[in-house]
Amino acid sequence: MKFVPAGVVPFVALLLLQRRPVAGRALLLSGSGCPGHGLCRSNVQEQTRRQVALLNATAQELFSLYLKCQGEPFSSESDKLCNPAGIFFPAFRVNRTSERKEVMVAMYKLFAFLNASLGNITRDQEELNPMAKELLERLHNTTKTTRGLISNLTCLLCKNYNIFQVDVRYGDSSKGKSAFKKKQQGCQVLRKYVQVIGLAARVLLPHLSPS
Amino acid sequence: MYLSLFTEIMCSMFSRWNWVACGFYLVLNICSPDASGGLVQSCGHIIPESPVLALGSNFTALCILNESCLDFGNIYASQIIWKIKNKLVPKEQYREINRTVSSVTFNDTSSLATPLTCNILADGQIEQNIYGITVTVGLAPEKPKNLSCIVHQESVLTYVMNCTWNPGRHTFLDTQFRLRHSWPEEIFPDCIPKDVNNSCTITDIQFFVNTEIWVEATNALGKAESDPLVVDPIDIVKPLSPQNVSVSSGVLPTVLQLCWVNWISDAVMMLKFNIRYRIVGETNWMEVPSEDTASTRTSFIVQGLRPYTEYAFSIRCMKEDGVGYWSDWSEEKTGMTTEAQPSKGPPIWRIIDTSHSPAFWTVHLLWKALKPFEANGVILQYEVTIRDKSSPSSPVKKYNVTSTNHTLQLREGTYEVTLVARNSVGSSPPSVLLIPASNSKAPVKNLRTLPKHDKLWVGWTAPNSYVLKYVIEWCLVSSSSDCIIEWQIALGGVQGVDLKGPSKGPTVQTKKVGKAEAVLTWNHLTVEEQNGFIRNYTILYKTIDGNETVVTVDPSKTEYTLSSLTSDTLYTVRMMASTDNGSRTGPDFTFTTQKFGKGEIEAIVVPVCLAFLLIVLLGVLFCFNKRDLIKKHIWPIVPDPSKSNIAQWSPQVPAKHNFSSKDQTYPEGSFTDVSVVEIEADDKKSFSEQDLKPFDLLKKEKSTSEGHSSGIGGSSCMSSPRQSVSDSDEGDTTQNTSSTVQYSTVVLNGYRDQTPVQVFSRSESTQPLLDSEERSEDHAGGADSTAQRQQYFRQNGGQDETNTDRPCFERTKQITHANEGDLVGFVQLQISGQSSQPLGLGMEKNTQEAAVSNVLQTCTEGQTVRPETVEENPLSVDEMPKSYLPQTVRQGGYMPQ
Repeated sequence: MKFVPAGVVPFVALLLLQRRPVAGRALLLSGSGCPGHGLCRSNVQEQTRRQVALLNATAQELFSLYLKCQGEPFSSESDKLCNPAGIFFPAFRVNRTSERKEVMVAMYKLFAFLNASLGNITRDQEELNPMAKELLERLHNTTKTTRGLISNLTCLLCKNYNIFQVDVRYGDSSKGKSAFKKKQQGCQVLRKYVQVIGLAARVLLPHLSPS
Repeated sequence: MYLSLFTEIMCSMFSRWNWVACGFYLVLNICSPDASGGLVQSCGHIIPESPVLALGSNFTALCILNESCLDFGNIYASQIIWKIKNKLVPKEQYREINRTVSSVTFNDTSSLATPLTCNILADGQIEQNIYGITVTVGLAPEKPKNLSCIVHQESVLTYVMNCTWNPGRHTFLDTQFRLRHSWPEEIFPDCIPKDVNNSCTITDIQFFVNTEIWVEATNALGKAESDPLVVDPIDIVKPLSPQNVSVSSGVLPTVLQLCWVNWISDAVMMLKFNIRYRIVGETNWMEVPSEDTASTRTSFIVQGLRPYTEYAFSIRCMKEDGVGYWSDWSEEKTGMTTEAQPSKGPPIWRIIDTSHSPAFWTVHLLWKALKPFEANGVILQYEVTIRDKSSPSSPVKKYNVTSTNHTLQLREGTYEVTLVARNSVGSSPPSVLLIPASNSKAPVKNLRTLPKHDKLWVGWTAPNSYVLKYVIEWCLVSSSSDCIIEWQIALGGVQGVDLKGPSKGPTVQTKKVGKAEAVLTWNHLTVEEQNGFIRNYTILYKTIDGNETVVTVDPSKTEYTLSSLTSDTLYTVRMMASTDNGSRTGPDFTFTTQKFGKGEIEAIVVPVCLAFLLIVLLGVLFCFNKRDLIKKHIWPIVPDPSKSNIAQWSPQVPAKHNFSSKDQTYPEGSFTDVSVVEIEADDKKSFSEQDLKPFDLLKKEKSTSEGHSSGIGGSSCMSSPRQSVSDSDEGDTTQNTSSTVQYSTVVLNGYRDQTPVQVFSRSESTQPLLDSEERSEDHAGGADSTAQRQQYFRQNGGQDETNTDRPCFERTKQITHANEGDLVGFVQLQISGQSSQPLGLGMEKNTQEAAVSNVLQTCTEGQTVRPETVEENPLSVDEMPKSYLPQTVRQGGYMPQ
């Protein structure tokens, strides 16, 4: 999968972007058709599961490679420097017994945030580590996968629950920060991403398995 | 736009009126603020401007005249004619809409061409163009059809999607195709085909998202879209074939394990595989059942293989669910199964020779080597066991044999022969042959043979009793060879068998041909061609008129080097494959051995070149050392009479004078290239010490210039370029001139009736002397002969090599009053300066033998001549030779007139 420009994907009118933390809140609408109706097919559920599985399978490698490419002190003191306690990360308070709709909304919030954050990390790494080709390629691919995942979740939310608007909060922008801060912010996000994506994969699996 | 009609054209239309009106019209048009561009004004225009028309449609164009032209040009729409290129459009297609507008209609645009022009028939005859347009005729794009896409994997993380479609009919217009793809809320950048109109490659694709793909075709006549293709790119992937395939033998001799690496991670795509394999050397592939390889894996154990057989494997993969495309087959990898014990005993037979004594047999046991799939390895040896059935108490005899025959001396009796083949793993089942004491004829009847294709079929009628197997013996009946019995075993149920040999012989060719050797190569015969087990190959080669040479080659080889061949000779070679059942020869192949072996040419050329270079170098060195001699021979000094001013010859006979030299005396014969002019001078005093000063200088110079050669002039002592001595020009005399100065002539007295003028003249001539001038004969007689002839101009050529380079000098005693020491010094300088070192001995010899003249005849260039020299035998003016150099020139030599 080739390069896709980093950044936040415009989600048309489906999403309302907000700068404050907001719990996943689905707005129910009925009667209106979903965008790209012809593409919102029955295989989207399986596609979504595969996308989450793919992200889960590649997250740890991405994080390790990221640490390696940042050099010291990140490669040796990642526990301390990459502690995600201080950063915003969408809450993912769902489990296997949660309602399917709730899971889908939480997923959407999570991956919308991740897509934006990965875009920012990719942009920063292109500036800080332009020669780290493999890292950049993995960041591009992961960003692109989250982009496709958002598209599929949009389809599922609209098609199954008539939800076409979800409030999403994004993290702080790294623009204007020092190189160290940029590296640290990326490190914190990716570390949290590794933890959450594993949970998401486990939670999503029963909900997306063919019934 | 095709625009014409200029004001000057209008002038021509007005010509019938008057030129004044024309000029007025021109001024009006040029100055008209309406004139486009300010200088010219069209008298009309066509609408539509440059239309693009659909092929086959109808089309109407209007030509609209300007009002101004109507007023001054007296032209109206009725005068308009339409043209396509230069062809007139039929008037039936015109319509005069009003007095300024004319239309033309075409029912079918296929009849149109460009340009379409509106013209005026001025004055009813003169055709003038008013306006023109380009007309483009074409077709709207068709809907692109058969859109299909395939995602090619380029590396572990890189995929590209290539889509192809049928662009439809040719539109004759510039038609742009765009491949587009989108997600539900996102349309991605278009893919614009480069140089083609039916395919494009998208490099940014995303798996697990339904993507809509379609093609848009657009041109001036419209736009068309293909039917959209909705696909998840993961479903149209053609993955890279598995890499790093390796084959390793397993524990069992019938299995091989394959290992490989997949390019796609399981998270992206689960794979299924096809594994194919074949025996190396065979062409037919076998395939592992697909259900055995229907899941993602990186290794597989292939079973049911033959022991000790080399197999080639290749793998391909595709998405596990079968949606998508198979990858290409991977690169072939080979592996060999391990050995197993031979699966059967070798077929055995015997030939019994009782010719010596019926009681004692010579038994030749013969058996055939097992075929590879029977041998299951390398047969290391055969064990032959002989049991005497007639005498059970006799010990069993065992023989270990490595060949496929064994000869025994047995007493007449009944024997049981058991044969076992062994390889590194184990032994084959025994083959048993019973040799009865008395051999009866086989109870077969109607033995018959029939040629069938390339085989000889042998049939018989089976006996009524049960037959385990038959043995057929045969031999080639030939006058050139004995009957060598061959044999073949057939199972008991058959009543006929083909005596098979190879169906074709190997095709041999040369891989490399040298001077005395040639490397031959060939391919193994296929199993179908072999018709058995190849026992050996036989190479038969010969020259055109020579005997055939036969070489037997091991059947495992595919290459053989013929040696001891004759160079530059045409050879014919063919190859024969032999099985137990016969032989077959392949086609002839001819080749010519090389004339020179590798490096031979270099070995010859390089020394020759070196030798040549050496010779050249030596020649150059020799020439350099002998340059004076060479110069004298090929470029002798020739006086140029045209530049001479000799007024009078002084036919003084230079006698052989004793020359008082401190160290040396010089025989006249040793002088070379001496030019002496003795001229009677009126004023003896003119030859003063001052004139001889240069000699002093030269004398001084001697100490440093000894051993030097003196160039052209230096080869001739008397015409040496070193010195010029003159009464009148002291400066010249001291010059060390270049070789271009050959000699000088001093004229003191008037020549014949001319008024003598004391002149010192230096010749710049470089004209070569003739050989005759340097012939030794000239002075072979020494000074005597020349004296008698009263020669006053002499050139001495070297008589032999020794003398050639010797400096020569001649003096006249008349100038003994001059500073003799200086002169001697000068002579010495000349000698030493002229001579090469090897001449030193000669010089000494000459010094002793020759009487040194006390008459100074300076032989320097810029010759100094003393008037006193005319004392002894002065010639009168009338007696003087009429020519400049008559006496010393012979044999067609230089005779200046």
